[in-house]
Amino acid sequence: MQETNALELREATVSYNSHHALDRVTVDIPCGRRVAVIGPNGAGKSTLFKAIVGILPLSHGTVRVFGHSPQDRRVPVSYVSQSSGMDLRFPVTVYDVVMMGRYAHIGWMRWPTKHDKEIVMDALSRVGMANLASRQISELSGGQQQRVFVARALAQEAQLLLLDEPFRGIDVPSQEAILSLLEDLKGVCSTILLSTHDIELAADAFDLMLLLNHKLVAFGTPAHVFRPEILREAFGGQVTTWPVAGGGTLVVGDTHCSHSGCVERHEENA
Amino acid sequence: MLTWLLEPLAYPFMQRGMLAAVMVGVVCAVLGSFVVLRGMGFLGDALAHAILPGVSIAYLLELPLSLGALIMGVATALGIGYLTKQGRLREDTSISIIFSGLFALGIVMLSFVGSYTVDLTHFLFGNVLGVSEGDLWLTAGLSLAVLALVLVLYRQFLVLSFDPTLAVTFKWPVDLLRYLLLIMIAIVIVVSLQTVGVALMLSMLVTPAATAYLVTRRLPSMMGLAAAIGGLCGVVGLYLSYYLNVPSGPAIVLTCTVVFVLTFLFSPRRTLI
Repeated sequence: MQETNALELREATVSYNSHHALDRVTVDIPCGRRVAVIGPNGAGKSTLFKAIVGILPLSHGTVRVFGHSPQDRRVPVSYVSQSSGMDLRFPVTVYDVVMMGRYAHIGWMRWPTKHDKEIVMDALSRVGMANLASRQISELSGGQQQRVFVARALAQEAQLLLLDEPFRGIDVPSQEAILSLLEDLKGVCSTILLSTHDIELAADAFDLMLLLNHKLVAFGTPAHVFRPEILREAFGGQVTTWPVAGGGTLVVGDTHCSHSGCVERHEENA
Repeated sequence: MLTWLLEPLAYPFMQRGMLAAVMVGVVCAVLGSFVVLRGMGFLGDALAHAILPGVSIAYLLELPLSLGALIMGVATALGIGYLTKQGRLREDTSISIIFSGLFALGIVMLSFVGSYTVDLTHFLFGNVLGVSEGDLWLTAGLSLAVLALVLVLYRQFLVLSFDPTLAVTFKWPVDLLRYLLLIMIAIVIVVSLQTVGVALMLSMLVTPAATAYLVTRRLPSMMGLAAAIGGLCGVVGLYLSYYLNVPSGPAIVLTCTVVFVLTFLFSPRRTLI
């Protein structure tokens, strides 16, 4: 079957000094899929996203986004970074932040139209934040802030959505709101890449998994990637697997993470 | 009360001074909102001091002072923009070296003129009562240009200040916008030169905007309130200067400072507008 690719990476390499953060990654990601990007801490997940957005230049190889270079103005990508660098005491409301997503579509010397405002309110209700639209962003919890940034990415109406660790340190309702949103987006032809530490969640909620440890370790359906021998290749000694009663596999992954939540349990049909 | 208010305005130099103080107060406060939010206060101060050689040269060659300040200001803005992109020294270190060096150079140049202490005082602390009609027109023109740019590029500057990564994903010319903001700050410094002078310039740029920041929750209301505070403090400061017989620049700056301190002490935290 001939599919158009949202992303085509050919030997994509990003180097800091002499260290390869991303090492000759070659992969085609078809349009309209939801892809979980997993790998140990410092495996180059954020670097991969930044290379796709065009923030980090490649030292070797190419990235094509819908056939264009990442620096191309025509490439519509929305990107939710790990928002650590942002000043959240900035005088903007939730509504203002999401409206920024529309700025890519509003021409110079023009003001937001009724259509833009509808899209903003729609994006906010899809993440369950419409009732807090007039709040100043510093008044929100971390999870609510994350939902606002996801809503902003939605309002951009880009065909490619990149979410870098959106679940890190957020509350359960916020995580569920974002997950159910990803479920809603299934019908629309938008391609989603999401990086996460939660391997089990990645296997459960995503069409494809991309396992990264500087190099591409594996890419495919969860049934293909979520296997002890493949995970061990990426996580090394950080993954221990053994069979449990009932024919499942217990995976202990990523010892870099905090004390809680390190143990991933997965029932795999033997 | 009315005569108290009207008496100073009988003098043409006071009328011109008032107009200049209001314009400077407003334009500094609006642009200053970005300075406060982006943490560019130190940069603004450096830029203000670094224009002194330009002013001195213009003074020695008997050219318009604003012209010298403008050329020097834009050149320094570009230089600082370039320096902040280099990684060899910490940005504040390289800026400190350049700005104190240029400031010293400016003072040395001025010392060649006989009446140097008086002129230096004017450049450092302003001489709003010496504003000519020509100065007033220049102030008005440059202020309007800066305000128009803020209005037209409001969204670009907002995103650049709040989340530069988003500006990059929009493929906006981020470096160009950064340079433009620096040049606009340089222009505002030139405009304020006569009102508050090089040494007190930073206060006009930062204090009204910071005061408004304390009580607002959106950028447009922050800018609006800052402009009102800046303009009003200019007027109040001039009246104080007239009746208490103190220098006008410091009087304006002290008024701004008092308003800030009172707001800081008595405002409910960011709940008003």
